[in-house]
Amino acid sequence: MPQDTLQTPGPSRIASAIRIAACISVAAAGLSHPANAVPAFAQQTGQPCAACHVGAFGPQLKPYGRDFKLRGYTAKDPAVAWRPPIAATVQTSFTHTKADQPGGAARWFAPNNNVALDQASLYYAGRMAPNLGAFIQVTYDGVGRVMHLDNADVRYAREFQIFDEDTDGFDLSAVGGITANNSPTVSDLWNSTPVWGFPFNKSRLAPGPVASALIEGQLGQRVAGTGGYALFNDWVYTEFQLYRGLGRDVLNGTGIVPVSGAPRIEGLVPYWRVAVQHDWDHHSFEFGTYGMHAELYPNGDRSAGTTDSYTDAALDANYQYIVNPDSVTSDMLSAHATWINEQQNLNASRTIAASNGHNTLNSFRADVSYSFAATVTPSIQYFRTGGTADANFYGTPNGSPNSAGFIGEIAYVPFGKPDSLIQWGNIRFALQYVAYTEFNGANRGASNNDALYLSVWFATHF
Amino acid sequence: MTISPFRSGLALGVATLVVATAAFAATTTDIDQLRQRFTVSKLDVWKGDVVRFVNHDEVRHNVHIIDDRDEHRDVGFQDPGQTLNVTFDKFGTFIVRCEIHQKMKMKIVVH
Repeated sequence: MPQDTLQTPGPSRIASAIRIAACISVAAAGLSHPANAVPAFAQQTGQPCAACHVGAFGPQLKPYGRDFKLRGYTAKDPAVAWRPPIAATVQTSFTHTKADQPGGAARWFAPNNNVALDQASLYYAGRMAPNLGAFIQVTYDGVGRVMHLDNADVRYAREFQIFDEDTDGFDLSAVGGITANNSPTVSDLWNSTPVWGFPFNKSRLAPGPVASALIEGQLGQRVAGTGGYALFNDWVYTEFQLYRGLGRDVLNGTGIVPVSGAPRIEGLVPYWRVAVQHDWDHHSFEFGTYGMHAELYPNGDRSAGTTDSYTDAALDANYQYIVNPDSVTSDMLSAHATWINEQQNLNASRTIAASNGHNTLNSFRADVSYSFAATVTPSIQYFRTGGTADANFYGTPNGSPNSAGFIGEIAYVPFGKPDSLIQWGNIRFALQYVAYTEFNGANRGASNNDALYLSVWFATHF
Repeated sequence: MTISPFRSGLALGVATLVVATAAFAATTTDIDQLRQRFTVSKLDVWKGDVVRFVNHDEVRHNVHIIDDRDEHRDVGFQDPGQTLNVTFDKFGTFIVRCEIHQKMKMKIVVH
């Protein structure tokens, strides 16, 4: 699910607009996540959803799901006749916020208790050639009421035997390739990084914090990039990509709005990823770092003659415990955490809007879930964003970007297992509650932004 | 005690016969497919031996063989609980994979 608005805070002359956006926003862009239960993958591999996904529904990956993505979505069951890997998902929801949102939760919506078609997506998801595959999502956004290109990731992947134990005395092999995609971290294999992190869906009709790091989804679908990645000896993962901002015509053509007033990306945006990971017996772990650097013209305004500079550097960790590794429907514990440090050098915003010259923003998230028989999955997350106060930059009452709270969720997925009566589709019912202890710099009244979100998420292939 | 040349020759002949029989009689070796992996990463067999792949998982597996000349051959698939027998009747080194679970990989050397 792409953001409706690019959430990078801008100069003070649009601070009020930011404030309004924060009030009606469904959550900061970095908190929104794409639908990614893709039955086309299940059809291609002949495997049930539970083989790849925790809780038998995407996007949280198990070891096999990560390997499938690593190898470019190309694994297939030779006994299954090829079909175009087309799939669809539909998300509908009910949102209740603790306090009404004056003027409506969003355009076309009431101040509270809203029923919504969150989104409907169509996917090309699967193998295109022996080493080439793609995940391409087109979404109708039922809140913003616009059709747009959503996440896209096209990959070429293969194995490399660099040294062979029989001939060289030791073994060094890699699985890697090239990815071309439209969002930093969309190519990542783990669910600790922003695009595929928890919560996997959330209300777009509840208030959300105004501040988030740039890498938390703010460039999603507004850039295009390519780069290489490799997993060496099943232990060390490396990835490097370069992105470039998309032009106005391309953004208009792909439905990514707004175009006017959105930050313009100057030059190339490097993205890096290094991780140590391994799976064995019951356990799977990952510990790594990722980050990027970007130069932006705030609100597309070049009048300062210079850019704002953002450097995001993050640490992340994942752990999964599979109670019975012999079973794809085994109970499973999953935990993810990430900490992002953003250094903002606001040379342009300082000139245009009298913001601080330099800000720091930190974002921390940690979640844990336990999936019972790949059917019932309760989860809880703690999140906190904090940093330098800057009233002209963030537009919050006291200038603080700080927000913190918890998200609790329980999901029920009746299908997607080897013995499920329905194999052509799947459905996920989820009850989620977001509770704030601090919201846009204020503790008092933070809980007025708390939200109850009941969602139904349906997926099928064609 | 001295051993006559005849007896020595006889003993040597019997030993050779035993070894030869062991070498040339086709044997069957089980390879388990468990937790979406082959339970061994490398196996040595004699020409003509049979390798029986046993699917202990809850999901389907496939046996795909790649020879020294990079020629690929799909031998078949197994639903959960099923076995698949493959006779290795050519010398060489073969890579065995599952096309569904591409991480599943083992090497079979045929002597």
